[in-house]
Amino acid sequence: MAKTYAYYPGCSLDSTAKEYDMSVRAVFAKLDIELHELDEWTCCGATHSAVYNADSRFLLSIRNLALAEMQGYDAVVAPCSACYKNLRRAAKLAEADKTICTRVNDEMEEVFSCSGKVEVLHPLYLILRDYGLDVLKKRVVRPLTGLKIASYYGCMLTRPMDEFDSAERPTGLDRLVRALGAEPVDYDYKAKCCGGALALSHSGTTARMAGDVLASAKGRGAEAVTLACPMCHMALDLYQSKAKKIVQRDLDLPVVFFTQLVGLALGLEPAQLGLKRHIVPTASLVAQVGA
Amino acid sequence: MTSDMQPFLAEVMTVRGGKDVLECYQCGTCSASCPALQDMVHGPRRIMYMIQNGMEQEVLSSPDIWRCVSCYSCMNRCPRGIEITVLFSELRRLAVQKGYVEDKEAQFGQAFTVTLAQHGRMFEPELLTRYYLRTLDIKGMLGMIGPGLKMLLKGKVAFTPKNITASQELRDAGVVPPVGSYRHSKFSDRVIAIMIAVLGFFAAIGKVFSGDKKEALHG
Repeated sequence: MAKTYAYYPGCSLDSTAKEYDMSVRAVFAKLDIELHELDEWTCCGATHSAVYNADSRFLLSIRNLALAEMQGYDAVVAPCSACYKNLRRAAKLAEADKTICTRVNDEMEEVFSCSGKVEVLHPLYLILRDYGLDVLKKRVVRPLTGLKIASYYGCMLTRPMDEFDSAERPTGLDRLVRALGAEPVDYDYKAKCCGGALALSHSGTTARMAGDVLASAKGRGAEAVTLACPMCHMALDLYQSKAKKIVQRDLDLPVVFFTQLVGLALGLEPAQLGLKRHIVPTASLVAQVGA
Repeated sequence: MTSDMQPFLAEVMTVRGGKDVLECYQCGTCSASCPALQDMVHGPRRIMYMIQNGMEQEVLSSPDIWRCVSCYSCMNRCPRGIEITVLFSELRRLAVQKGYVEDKEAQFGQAFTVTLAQHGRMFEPELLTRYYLRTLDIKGMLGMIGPGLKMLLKGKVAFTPKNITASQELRDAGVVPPVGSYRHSKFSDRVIAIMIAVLGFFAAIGKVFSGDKKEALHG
């Protein structure tokens, strides 16, 4: 029997990264993979909730996993890399540390079997592992031929370390980009953090780190950047003009979610994929693929 | 473990990520891997050494713990298997709990948890308002007007919070702070209530005038 996937959008996909939400839904519908939004999901706690309680993010995440189990799903698909990492870490922790699991069962209304029955997946890994690039390739109707794409992994996508991809030298996004017909660009900063966690309190740090990533990609001839995290997207897209001033070079790189690239290659319309919602315009990219 | 251990070291060894802190042999892989090192005073290597030596005041009042970007590079690479990133987040909690810091990131973390406690999910306009009410960071706020307007025009701002029924449950379970903690004042609650009403008003007007044409605008 086919696996049933719960969709956990996370807070950002409801607001600042609406285009990621739109493109995830459109792409998976096109690929005939059903994603059902989890009822009553809460925030995963990000990194900030630990200021109050060290276990908040684990308890919040385990509650979400409990909901998925109660609602009868086999796996939870979380497109935000930060949510993905929190949920996945919590699932591991729940298996290893029964006390944290019991706390969810004792103190909250949801009951969780703590058995590791519900798997946490990032949609990228769903495509790479469960769907398969060979199958995806056959569905491409609008190959992204000639486009030079810098895959940006950031940090959370490969955390916990080395589960689906190497934390030091990841390849997943590059393999996907190639399957879509585009040319992956190799560059230094693909797995270096964007500093998105400090975007408001120490925005200079974020802009500097984002600037380093963008300058490194641009230096290797990238025409666009693709990524899989709403925080990275904010740092690289929204903060790009600020980053430009810090690294003192021209950047002008459209930054798109990997699902938007997949959507374009599958023949979906740019409007369905939210491609006009970006701060750095994506028009050049869209024109290049002839969409 | 001996009873004459420095109290701060003993305390750190009981929190998440702290149990192996004495394993650190100062190789410096963490600091060499840290993308935020240039904004720190000590860096993670020296922070570990300071913990080993019980230097509570210096560790908990250092800006370093608030400059960590939680990327886990140090923790992934630590040859001694110390959960440095997890520990840094615990140092933040201890610093807040013991009243050591007023870093802007500490304020952001507290504004985040209060907002989370209200709705069970994040509501960015409220998070930002709470953050700026706490920090009174006028310069930062003016700097955010440009990006904020851009986001507004691109439809990246939510106008209404999504309230999850579980938020009271989360408070009861001690996952999020109770009402009244973290200078969670009646004044800021009033400001937030007005803001939510105004945003809701605009959202309603927006719906009436744009109707189904909204996505076409973005398409």
